[in-house]
Amino acid sequence: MAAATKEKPATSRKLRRYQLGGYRFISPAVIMMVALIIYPMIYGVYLSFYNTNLVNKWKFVGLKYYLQAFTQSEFYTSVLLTFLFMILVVAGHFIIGFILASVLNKKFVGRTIFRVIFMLPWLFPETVIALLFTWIMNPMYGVLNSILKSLGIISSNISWLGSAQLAFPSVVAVCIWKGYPLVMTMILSGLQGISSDLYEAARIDGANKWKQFLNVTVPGLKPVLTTTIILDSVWWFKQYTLVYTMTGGGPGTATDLISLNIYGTAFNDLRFGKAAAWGIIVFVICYLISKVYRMVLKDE
Amino acid sequence: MLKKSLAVALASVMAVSVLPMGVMAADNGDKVNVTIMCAYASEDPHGQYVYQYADDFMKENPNINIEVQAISSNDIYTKLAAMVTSPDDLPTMFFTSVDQAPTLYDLGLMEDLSGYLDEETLSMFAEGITEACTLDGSLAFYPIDVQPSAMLYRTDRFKEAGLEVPTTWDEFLECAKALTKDSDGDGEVDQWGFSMVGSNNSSGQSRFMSYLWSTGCNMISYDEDEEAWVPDLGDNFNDSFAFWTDMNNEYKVVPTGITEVDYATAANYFAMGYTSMMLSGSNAIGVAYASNPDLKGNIGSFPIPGGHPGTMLNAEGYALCSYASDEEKAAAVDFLKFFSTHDKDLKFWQSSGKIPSTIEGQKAEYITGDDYKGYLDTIKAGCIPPMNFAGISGLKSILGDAYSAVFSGEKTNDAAVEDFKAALDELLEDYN
Repeated sequence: MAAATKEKPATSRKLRRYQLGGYRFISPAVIMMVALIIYPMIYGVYLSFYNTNLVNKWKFVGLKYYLQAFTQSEFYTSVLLTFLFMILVVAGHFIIGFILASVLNKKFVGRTIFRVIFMLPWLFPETVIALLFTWIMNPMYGVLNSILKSLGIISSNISWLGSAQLAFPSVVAVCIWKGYPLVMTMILSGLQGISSDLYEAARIDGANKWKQFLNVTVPGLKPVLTTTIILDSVWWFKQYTLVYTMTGGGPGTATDLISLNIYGTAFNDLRFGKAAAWGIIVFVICYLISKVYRMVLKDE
Repeated sequence: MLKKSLAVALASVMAVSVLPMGVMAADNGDKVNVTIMCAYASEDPHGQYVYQYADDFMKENPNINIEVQAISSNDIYTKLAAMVTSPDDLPTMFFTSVDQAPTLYDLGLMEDLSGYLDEETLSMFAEGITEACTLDGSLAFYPIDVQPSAMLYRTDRFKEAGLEVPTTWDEFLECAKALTKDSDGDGEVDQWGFSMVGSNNSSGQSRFMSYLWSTGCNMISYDEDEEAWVPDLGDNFNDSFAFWTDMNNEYKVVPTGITEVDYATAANYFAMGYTSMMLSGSNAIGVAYASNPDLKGNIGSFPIPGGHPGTMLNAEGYALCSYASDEEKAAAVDFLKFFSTHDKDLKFWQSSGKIPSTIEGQKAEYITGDDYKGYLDTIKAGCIPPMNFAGISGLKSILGDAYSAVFSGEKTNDAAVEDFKAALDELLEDYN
């Protein structure tokens, strides 16, 4: 009995020492996560309860900014616009990315050159692309108007980025052009990972091209598609640079994505509390997007 | 053995590479470092003179090291607002204009310069200049130049069309209509009366504010009894608002794609002859002459039309950062005095088109012509005193959102004004 009681503390001490070793190993990662992710998030939540300029004005306002977000049209209009933007851009990426990946997966002369060419939009910085298309679409001297006029499609210059109807589709088109190479590359790598034996077996079983696509290609690409769609959606949901450089969120609220709105509220108006509250809500939305995607696309 | 030798060689290289840093540190140890976050330096053609003046000053003061950080005016504001939460990296002084000063002052970034400037220095500024840089009784920044807004116009085109200088906005619109035409007869308008800055940024918003002031709309005013800022839109705000947007939407006297026309584009249109009038500070004269020297003798200016003052004096200059050390502040002030006084040719001011802040500077030959007349008349007639409202940037933003929404066809004038009023109430609630 006495031996058993002596043995217990020894075992538990050993276990504790063993566990302590584990904690020591994970501590650098935990410290980094706390410093770079957890602390800023908690600080963001803290700020959202204050009307503050972060320096000398700290007025507690409770849930005022959260309530404003749900009662004023400005916030949800901006969020809905951002959703529409994200859906259109991601859909565009997947349609173009899928078509190009399928073509580039076939063997033909010059395939490597085309792979490089189609990757180019991804390699240019977003600001460069934004400025480039701003010049192309300029209403006074832009080459787009010039081409359309010479083809007889339009009779006078159009302000692509200055009209409430045209600014949003114009920005979406540029964002699709900028972002499709990532999706194309991911799908291409996924396609290359599907064994040709599977297609051969499907052919023997009498599957036509469409059935091969549905029953071999799509299931084979599912893990890649899940990751890509989550990454791409969240990336474009919080898009800032391209849209800001092209339109600054305007004209009016035509391209006023939530990221631009939050940035302007924080760094232009110096209303950091309101911006933090909206930022927290957007974080929750991004988290829900990823949850929904995982549920819909989960690999059975 | 090879690995050991490589490791020793690498360690030696690293050790040697650190040495110059030590030497530099020792060099800088005796010097006072002054960093300037400067918007002038990022602009052409006058930015070069900031560097030149800094070099000249360092030659005369070898114990002071001036580092100029060129950055655009709008970015300075944003950057300082972000940097103030970790003040170690703040510059010794920074560029500011009168419309950014209240916010930066509210953040506690601006040292009161009156304690650093003697009577002799203060007396060299022209009348009303130091008042234009004073907030709450504190001299918030050192004035380098002033540029009240006025209307630039093409004197040759006015003469050709038989037009008189307008004094009301209705007359202005008639002039703009007369100057909007298809000059090459190809069936498309290629010359517009008014080079409006219609972009929703600080440049566009400031001009719109000037226009509104000139119609008697103050937007906001300070209520001494309530000790709070309150809306002060005047009686005819809706009409005034609609008049401005109608210049694009109805009368088409401004260039196509107006929401994309920022200051640089508008100044370029004016310089290249696409437009005939432009609401601007005198710096646009510098841009016009630099881009198109043939315009010399063909540009005039007149005060903003309307029955009320339409502009502040719009002093610009450098603020002393309150977080800098006493030694750095003293050195920075020495540089500021040097900047204002040492260049007898006023190359910085003349090339930029800006009006000097000093009495001597305002006697310069280059501001005696027709091109500067409207600006000098505006100063003489008296400008609006500085508005010490910390949320001025937010106020400009909501104004910009309002006109931009109408220009793009997203909202009617009435809807935009209603939304503006709601946004103004919310802004004032946060800033009171």
